[in-house]
Amino acid sequence: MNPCGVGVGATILEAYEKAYEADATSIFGGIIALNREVDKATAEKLHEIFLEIIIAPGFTQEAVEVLTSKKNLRLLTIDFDAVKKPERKLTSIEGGLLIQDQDAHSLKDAEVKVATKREPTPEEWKAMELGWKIVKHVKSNAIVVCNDQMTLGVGAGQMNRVGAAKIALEQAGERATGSALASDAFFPMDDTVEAAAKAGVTAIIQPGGSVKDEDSIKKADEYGITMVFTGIRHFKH
Amino acid sequence: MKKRALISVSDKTGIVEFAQGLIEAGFEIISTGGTKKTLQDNGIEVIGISDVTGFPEILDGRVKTLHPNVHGAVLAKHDDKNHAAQLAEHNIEPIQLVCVNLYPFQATISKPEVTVEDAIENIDIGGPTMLRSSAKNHEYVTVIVDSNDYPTVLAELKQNGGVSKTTNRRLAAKVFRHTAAYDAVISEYMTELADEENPESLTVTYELKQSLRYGENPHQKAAFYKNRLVPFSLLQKRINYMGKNFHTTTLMMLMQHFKSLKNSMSRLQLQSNI
Repeated sequence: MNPCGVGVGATILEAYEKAYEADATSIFGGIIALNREVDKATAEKLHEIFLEIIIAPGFTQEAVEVLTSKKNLRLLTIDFDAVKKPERKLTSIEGGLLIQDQDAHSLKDAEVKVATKREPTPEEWKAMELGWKIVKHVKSNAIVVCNDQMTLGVGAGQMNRVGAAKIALEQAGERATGSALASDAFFPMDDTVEAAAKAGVTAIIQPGGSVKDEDSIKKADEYGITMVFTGIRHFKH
Repeated sequence: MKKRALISVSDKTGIVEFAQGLIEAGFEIISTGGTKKTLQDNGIEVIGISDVTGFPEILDGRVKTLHPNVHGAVLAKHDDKNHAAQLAEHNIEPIQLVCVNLYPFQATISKPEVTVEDAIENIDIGGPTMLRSSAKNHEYVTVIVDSNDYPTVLAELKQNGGVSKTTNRRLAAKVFRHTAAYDAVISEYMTELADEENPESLTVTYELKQSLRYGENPHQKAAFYKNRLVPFSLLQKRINYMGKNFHTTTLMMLMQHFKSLKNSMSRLQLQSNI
């Protein structure tokens, strides 16, 4: 499963509108997860399109009234505080089980360093942080193009990294100008940086650690892109 | 009063040396059926379980240790005056160490021509009960289900004159894993026999095949567990051949390749049949 759009905002309505705008096509028939109580205004917006499931910490009475007028829409509540200890992840394979820790690593525990000549602006930092948060939930090879409020393009599950980047950048289109790009693993060569630069991306966040990191850094410097290394990989299969 | 150890094992690996070690550490040994014979044949002095229970082993050995004289001896809290008084009243001497392993149910049902009667006869009742009683009372009792733990226990007895609470707790936890896995195999077998679809509980059990270098990413710890009842020839061999330990991503990809390969092989077969 891959997220098709993510949005953040000062209100839950604003966050939803950003998420919708992120990919107005794929949201059709989708599942929406919100981390604040759904109010009437948001419910009315949600009501406008066909959705399967809405998950939130809660719904106001008015929101429930708006949303239950749709027959097949399921409303689920989840208590975020009740989820204390992350369960280990089980993957079934031929003849057995793979058991692993959840990928709960967050950027605040990472040793992030700027690899390029240019340092990120505060807006670029915010956009990169958002992209990094999202990219670990996207199937590998994963590329997320975003600004500081929403995703603009998501490239998921491709067999090579630049392929994922091309999908994400194509989806972002003109909106890629001034955006950030997050990659779940390092760039094996400088082609992703090149593609990102040509699409208008100005900031890149990725783990680093490739033997060809220098090529990517050089390419980024060439285009005036700022690039940070997290030292942490977020594969998901 | 001498300390007492009860030994009743289906797998007799290392049992003679272990019993010998216990005697040197000042224990007297209580034993049952085949174990008693093995120990006696090797010149070890053994108290028969019937002498403890005052009751013969009956029903072809189905009832041997299921007796208050045994479970009272294992379940009593040694520092509880009330418990001590009750043991004295009923002439029960406490047992400080229990070494039991179970009838080989899994090995029995894995035989190609196993009968239901044979399988049922290999469901151990007295063994798990002994193990659970001892493991519950691990604050006072050392319980051993795995012959790999014999050396540790003997070493602690030799060095400290007793087994530490930490070790007792670790061994008790192992016992509950062992009896839970044992019951899981039985319940899977019985469920299949009863032809139940979607039973109310799923009780599959897996055994650790190997710890992996890491999971999908280096910051995720991971391990590979093998289904106890499914043969695992391909990966078993490959894992042993590889110099470097796998991590999750490689293993998942490997299995995906294996699956695709299997599927495409059957497709090819299908085509040639047509």
